[in-house]
Amino acid sequence: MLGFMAVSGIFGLRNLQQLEIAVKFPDEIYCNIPAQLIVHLSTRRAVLPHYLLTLHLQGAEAAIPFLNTRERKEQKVLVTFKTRGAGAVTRAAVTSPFPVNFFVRSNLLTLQADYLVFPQPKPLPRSWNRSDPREIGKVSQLKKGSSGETESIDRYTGSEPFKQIHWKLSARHDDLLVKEMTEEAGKPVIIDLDQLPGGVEERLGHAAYLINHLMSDGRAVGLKIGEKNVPPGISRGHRLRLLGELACHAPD
Amino acid sequence: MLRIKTILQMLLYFAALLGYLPLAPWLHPFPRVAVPAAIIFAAIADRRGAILKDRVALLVSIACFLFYFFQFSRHNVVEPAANMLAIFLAIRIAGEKSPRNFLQTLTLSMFCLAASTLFDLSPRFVIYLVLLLLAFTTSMVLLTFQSRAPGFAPGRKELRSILAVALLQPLVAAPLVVFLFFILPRTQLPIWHGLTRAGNDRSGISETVKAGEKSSISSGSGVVFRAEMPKQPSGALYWRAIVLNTIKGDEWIHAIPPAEKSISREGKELSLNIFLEPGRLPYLPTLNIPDRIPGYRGSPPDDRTFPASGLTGGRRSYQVLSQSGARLLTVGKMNRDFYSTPPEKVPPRLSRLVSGAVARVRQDRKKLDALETAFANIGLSYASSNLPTGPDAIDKFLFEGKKGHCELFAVSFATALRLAGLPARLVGGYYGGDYNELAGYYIVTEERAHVWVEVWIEGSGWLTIDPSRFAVNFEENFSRKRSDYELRVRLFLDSLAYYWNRMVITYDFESQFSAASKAGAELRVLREAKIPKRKIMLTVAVLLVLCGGIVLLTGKRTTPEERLLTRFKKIVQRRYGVDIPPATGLHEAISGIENQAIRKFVDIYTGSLYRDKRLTKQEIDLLEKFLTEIARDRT
Repeated sequence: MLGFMAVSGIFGLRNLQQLEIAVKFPDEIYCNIPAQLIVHLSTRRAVLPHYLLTLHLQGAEAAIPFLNTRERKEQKVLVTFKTRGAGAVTRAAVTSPFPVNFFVRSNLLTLQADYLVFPQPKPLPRSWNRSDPREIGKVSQLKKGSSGETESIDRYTGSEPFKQIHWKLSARHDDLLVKEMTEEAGKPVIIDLDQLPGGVEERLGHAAYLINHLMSDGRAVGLKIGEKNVPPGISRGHRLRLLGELACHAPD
Repeated sequence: MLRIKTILQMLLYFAALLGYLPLAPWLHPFPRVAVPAAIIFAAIADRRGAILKDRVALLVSIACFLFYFFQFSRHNVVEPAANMLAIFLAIRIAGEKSPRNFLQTLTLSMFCLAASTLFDLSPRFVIYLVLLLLAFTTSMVLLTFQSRAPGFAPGRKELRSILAVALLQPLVAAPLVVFLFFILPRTQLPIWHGLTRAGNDRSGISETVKAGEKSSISSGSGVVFRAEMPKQPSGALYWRAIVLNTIKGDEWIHAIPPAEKSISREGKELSLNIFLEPGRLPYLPTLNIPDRIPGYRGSPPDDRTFPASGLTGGRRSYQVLSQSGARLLTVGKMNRDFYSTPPEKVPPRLSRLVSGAVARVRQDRKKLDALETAFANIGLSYASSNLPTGPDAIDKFLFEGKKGHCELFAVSFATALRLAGLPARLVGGYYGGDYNELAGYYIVTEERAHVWVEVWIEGSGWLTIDPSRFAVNFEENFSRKRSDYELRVRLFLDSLAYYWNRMVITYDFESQFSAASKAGAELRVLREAKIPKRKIMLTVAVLLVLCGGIVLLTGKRTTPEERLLTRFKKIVQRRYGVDIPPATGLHEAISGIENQAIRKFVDIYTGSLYRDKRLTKQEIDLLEKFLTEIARDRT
């Protein structure tokens, strides 16, 4: 039994070696809202598969009972980030009770995966009596729509009409791409962070909410954050840029 | 498709059978039936989802525990424990199959197998052990899957891989197990020695001899011991065990002999190693006439017998230094009266035969010759059945049936010697043996139990006389009855048992110590030996070439592109701390690094990759140059 225990120890140790991990973050991660991360676990091993692996990443777990030789497996994990701003995942742990459930061994995997967490969107309180924030700013002719000029190209989210899909461009990429069109519209909106109620974090939350809310309505939105002014835009890329500005805003 | 749970159940029943089968012959009827019944019940119940209720299992366990607990005594430890184990095993098999219960069942199977060694430690044990270990370890791995990933339903390929890795572990562990067996410190007193059942005695010899006690003699073929030694003439193989020197009523018994100093003379010096089979022997068998047993505790009695209690540490093997065919010369005074007292009741016809034979003889030697002639002339023959019994068995043997076995021959001749005034005693032991040429040892079985006589002659000392030789059919009775082929097969199979006994059963601390000393001595010899340097260099070179060849033949062949990429990744990781996973694009991975050489390397490398073409010699040289630059970069 002693011989077997020694060998099982070596098998257990080897089971956690030669593993590589890669993480793919979603475009939009909001603070305190679970985000779905895609984790790729791959092995360089050519001889013995890996068994009963559990990945531990940012407090979340994903079970991979079997990883064959030279295989790359994808797992989705839900992770909730507690603070906004830029960050990086540099370590993940992989554990396994293999081969005989007496001990659970673990191994640290290194990786470099950068992410950006946007502030948690917070609706404005009903009691807030300021004039309509949409009135702040200058007049624009643009609104997100389907009849005007092509404003930008973005990924297909499932909500756009089929006629907006850019087939030629999609054929050259892995994803379906859509043309984001402009439409004649009313006033654009510039959100001035300083004019929103509450402390810094609360104002950032309100701003994030307003950006998402207004842009889903097709309105062009710009941002005034401190000394920095971002002119209004309507594309998804523009929205992410605005949210990124909020995420990286210095804390009070 | 087979599920993990189904395989586990099958393995569990297999493991239980492996634990039960070697123990079954020694179990009481109830546990003997209970285990197979529980397996059948469980196999059917598993399909129907029924199990033995916990409460019922608990009640049966308590009842059995109490029943066997009251059977425990100082002299009866093993049997109740073994029966109890078998019952617990049966209960666990029939009960719920939780991971905890699975583990308990496997452990109980192991205990049952271990318990069987307290009754019989034959090489069969190894087969059971190996199979049980395979079942045990495979079950442990599958059990881990079942408890840690209950929702995991492996496909055929995955299941095959899991089973393969589960089986691979005990196979890889096998050499380590053998290594550990010889290395791990062990006790000088095997625990089973003290627990071995007294009922398992197997010797074929008894501590008393009473003529006419049995109408037939047993002819068990069980091995009593093996003696590792060179081959000897068959007539020289008298294995001495016990000396019966006193007549009490009509029984010959062993009494403490009077002090007597003796030396053996005119014998052929022999050193042999004896390996006893498990079982209780009151006296250690030795080759006649033994001088000493190295390591024997205390001084053996003067009649050259060695009580088994003197063997230190409960060992089952010992060395004997003997003088084959020697006579025992008495130094100083010998208590003649002690050995010359005849029995109270002597058959009148025997008395007349003796007095007639030695009537005008004075010298001891001539008396002996006369008695030998008289017995040889009777026309006795050797037989093992239809033997005379009762108080006048000797009379019937010598003068009516004239057929008897060694005890009748020895008792009647020793009685005759004592009637003639010659000191005489019976010696019990074994005669002959089958020599295993393959392994160089004699195998001595129960059926070879024998009794002969020692007579003391003034000036010569104790002489060995085998009265069974007076039988007209002595040779045909004591030579091998088995066919040559049968004997060869038997001896070949026995070699396995011998090596088992030699390498495993009798492997104790002393053997470890001597093996270590031997290894040390051989190393010293090796160090002292002057081996020419050229020879060493040549051997090393040959080994290196061989290793290189093996690596080239079996190793994974990498392309120059793969080698370059591996180096590139290593350098980037070392210098910039950027790990590049296999599936990541190189451009993406190095996007944060400001280094021209890295960018150029990636451009050329990926350019070739996208064209689906191998790198040219010039490109490889260039990439090598970039790698050197990156490695030297100190920014």
